[in-house]
Amino acid sequence: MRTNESPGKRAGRERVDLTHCRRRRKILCEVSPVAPSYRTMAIADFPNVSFNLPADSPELRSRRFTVDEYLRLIELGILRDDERLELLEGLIVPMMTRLPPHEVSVRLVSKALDRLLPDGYDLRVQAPVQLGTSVPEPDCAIVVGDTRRYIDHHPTASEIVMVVEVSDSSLRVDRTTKSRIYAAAGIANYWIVNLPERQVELYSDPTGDVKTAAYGRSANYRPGDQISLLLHEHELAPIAVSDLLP
Amino acid sequence: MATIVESRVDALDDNPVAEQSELFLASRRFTPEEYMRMAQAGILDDDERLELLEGMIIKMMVRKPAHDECILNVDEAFRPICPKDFHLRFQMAVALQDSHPEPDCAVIRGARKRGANRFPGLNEIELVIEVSDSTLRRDRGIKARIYARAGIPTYWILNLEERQLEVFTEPTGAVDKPVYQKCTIHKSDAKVALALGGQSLGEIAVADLLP
Repeated sequence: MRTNESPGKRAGRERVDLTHCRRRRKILCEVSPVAPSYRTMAIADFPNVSFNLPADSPELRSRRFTVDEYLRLIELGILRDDERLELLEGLIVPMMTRLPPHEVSVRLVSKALDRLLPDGYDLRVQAPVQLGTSVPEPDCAIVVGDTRRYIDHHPTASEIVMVVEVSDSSLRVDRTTKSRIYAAAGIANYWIVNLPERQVELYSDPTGDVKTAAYGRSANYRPGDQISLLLHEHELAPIAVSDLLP
Repeated sequence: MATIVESRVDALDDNPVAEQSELFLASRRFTPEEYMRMAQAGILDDDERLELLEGMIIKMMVRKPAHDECILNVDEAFRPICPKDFHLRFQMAVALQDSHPEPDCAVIRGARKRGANRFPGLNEIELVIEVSDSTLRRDRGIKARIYARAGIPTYWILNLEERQLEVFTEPTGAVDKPVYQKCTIHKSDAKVALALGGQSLGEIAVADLLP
């Protein structure tokens, strides 16, 4: 079914001049749920063509990579050392450019945690961890064992007690994809230091399998609040939220 | 005091589909050279059906019988009239700026050279055809943009769902937002005039192409 019959239509043939369609294109772009680089084309450019496609019409499905494939791409130099990348559920994603407040907060969090860590734990800062089909680089991770334990592998799910992401523009991904990845790995504690809203979000009680994984419990702490952290049986001294925010 | 939220956190506020497509679009793009190196290194397996589209490695759809029949119809219609200074390729890759798509049919300038050992590239492709059943969005969208960017003069979509031939012409070439500026729709009772490189080759009935 066509919308807008063209006046030039004859004998099953019609010619559409697209130069007059700019306005319509713009409007359609705004309502299209499809992602930016794709939306300008798919629906808008040929307004006289029917686009009443089913809502679940297949979108592009990306070839995803396993952790081994990802590490080989790095080894082969196809992904270069100087690229800042993470593997998230099989997708290779460049990391956001970090702004000064982010760097300050990462330093504040790492100082606060490092001071309190009991023996038998180590703190890693902006270093990769290996979880299922993901190799994310959390801003901080508390892992078991000492530093040299990780000379031949990145920490894996059972070795990680807590991860922290400092969030500015990455908040959405940190609350969704990253949260699902960390919950699926069963990491007991996940903190988001939410810079725009000036709060620290604590997630705990991970449940579910790879697809449905989520943290069952969350709590938001604001400046003035104190956070107490339990690492296995070790209860750490309270941490002031105001010490973590820039 | 902290606000304790007991409910499951996965209901936060986000739509997983939007989230996926956001990450997907932000993902690291690959050049055709990197893509070929990955294939050579065996990271991309020979039996995977993939296309490189604007730097993204995309899985191809499973083809249905009607799709294959349509390709055979195109083969039958084109082969007898294809001039000697062109040749046909079916479901084989072409090497464009940032993409290695595999159009269902491509009419390549020049006679086929044995031992060429490379994919046809820019300025060698006169016409590309996609047979579209479940891939219509992709074919009118990212594929049209890729072919328009490469300046391929004519792009046909054989739209099986609506039983029509969509002919896209006047590509903008490699501009910021490449498009075909003209689209002509031929319903199944129409005939379409075929010309390659300025030579008229007569008419093809759309009905002869559709399965």
